[in-house]
Amino acid sequence: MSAVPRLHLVGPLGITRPVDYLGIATRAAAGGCDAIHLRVREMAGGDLLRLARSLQRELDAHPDVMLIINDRVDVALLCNADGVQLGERSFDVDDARRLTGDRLLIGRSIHNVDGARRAAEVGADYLLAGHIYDTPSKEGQPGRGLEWLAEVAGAVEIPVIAIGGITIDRLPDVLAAGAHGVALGRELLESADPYATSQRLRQTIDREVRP
Amino acid sequence: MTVTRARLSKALRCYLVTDPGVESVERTVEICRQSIDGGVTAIQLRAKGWPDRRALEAALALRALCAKAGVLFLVNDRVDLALASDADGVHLGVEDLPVEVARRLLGEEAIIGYSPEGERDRAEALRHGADYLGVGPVYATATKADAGPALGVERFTEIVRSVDVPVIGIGGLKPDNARAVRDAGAAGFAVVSAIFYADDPAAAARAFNEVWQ
Repeated sequence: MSAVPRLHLVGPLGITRPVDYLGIATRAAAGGCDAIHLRVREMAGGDLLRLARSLQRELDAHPDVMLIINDRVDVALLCNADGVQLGERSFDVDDARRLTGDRLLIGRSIHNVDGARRAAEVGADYLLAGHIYDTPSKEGQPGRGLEWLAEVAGAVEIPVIAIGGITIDRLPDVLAAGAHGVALGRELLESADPYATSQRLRQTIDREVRP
Repeated sequence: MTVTRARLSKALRCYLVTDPGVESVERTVEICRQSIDGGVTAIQLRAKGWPDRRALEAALALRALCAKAGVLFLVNDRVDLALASDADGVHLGVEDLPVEVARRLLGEEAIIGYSPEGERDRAEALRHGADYLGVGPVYATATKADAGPALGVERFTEIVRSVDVPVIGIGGLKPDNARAVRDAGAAGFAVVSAIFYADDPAAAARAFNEVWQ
C-alpha cells in the first residue's frame, strides 16, 4: 500500500463540466497535487468509467499521482484507480474492503470525532475531515475549525486530510493542527491558474512537513 | 449464488423489478416477500438514487430472502452492490457499465442481463456475453417515462425469435395482456408497478403466473 497523498483535488463536483475537469486536474497534477478525486453526482456507470479512463490518460505523464474514485467501488476496480472515497451514505469501509482487498486505498469522509474513530477501527486508510472553514459549498454550516481538526487528528492513528475552505494562507495552521494533508475542491476548480495554485500549496506543504 | 445459467430460463418466468420510489428497505423487502409467496421467480433490486448504504442493506436482505426461496436475485446497474451482496448477477442498460466490463469483475458464473436499445446494441450485448435480454416496452407504460414507444407484440415476437438467449418482455404488462408475451416465445415477463404497487402483491403475482400455466 502506497503512502497517503498530501495535496488532493476533489472535483468536478458540478462546479466545472466533466470535460473541463480533465484539464484542471492535469494542471493541478503538474503543479504538485498528488491525488485527483473523481467526484460527480448522478453520473451513469458507463459515463463515469469513460471519464475515469480519460482522466487516467491525461495523468499518464504523472505516474505518482493517485486517482481516487468517489463511491463507486466497481468503477474504481475496473479502471485500476488507486483509491476509493466513501462518505456517510456510501458503503461501509469494511464492506468496500471485502471487494478491494489491499488493491485500493480507502478514504472515509467524516464530520465528527466519533465517526473518525469508527472509520479508523473498520480499516479506513485515511480520513477526509471537514469542513474546516466556512465555504460556499456548505452554506449555512459554519466551519468546524482548527481545534476540531486537532481533536480528530489526535483521536486516530491514520492520516487526516483537511477539507473545506483551505487556502494557501490557512495551510500552515491546518498542518500545524495535525493534518497530514489537505483537499481542495472549489478553491482549485475556480482558481484562475490551477497549476500555479497547486505549486504554491505544494511548496508550503513541503516546507511545513519535514520528512 | 442460488440460480445457475442452466436454470436461467425457468427463473426468468415471473420477474419483479423493485421501484426505488418506495424508499423504505423494510417495505421493499416485505413487498418482495409477498410477491415470492405469489410465485415471483426473479427479483431485480433497482435502487437508483438511494444512498449506497441503504441499497446494500436492501440487497443483503433480498439476497437472504431469495436464497431461501430459490429465487433469482439480480441488482440493477451496480456491479459493486451485486458483489457486496453476493447477488446472482446484474441487469445493465445502455448507460451502465458495459456487459464485458462488468463480467470482468463478476466472473463467468454470474448472470448478466441487458436491456438493449435497438438492433445493433442488442447484437453487441449478445456478442459480449449477455445471458438474457429484457426487451420492451411491449406495451405503452407509465413507469419508465424514457422507455420509448411501444414495440407491439409482433415486433416483440420477431426479436424473441431472432436471438438465442432467453428474453423477458417488459413494459405495460398486466395479467390480461401477458399471454401474448408467452405466446411470442419469451422466457418470462418483467413487471414493476403491476406487482410492486398492487394492494396484494402475492395475488398479483399469482394472477400473472396463471397466465403462464
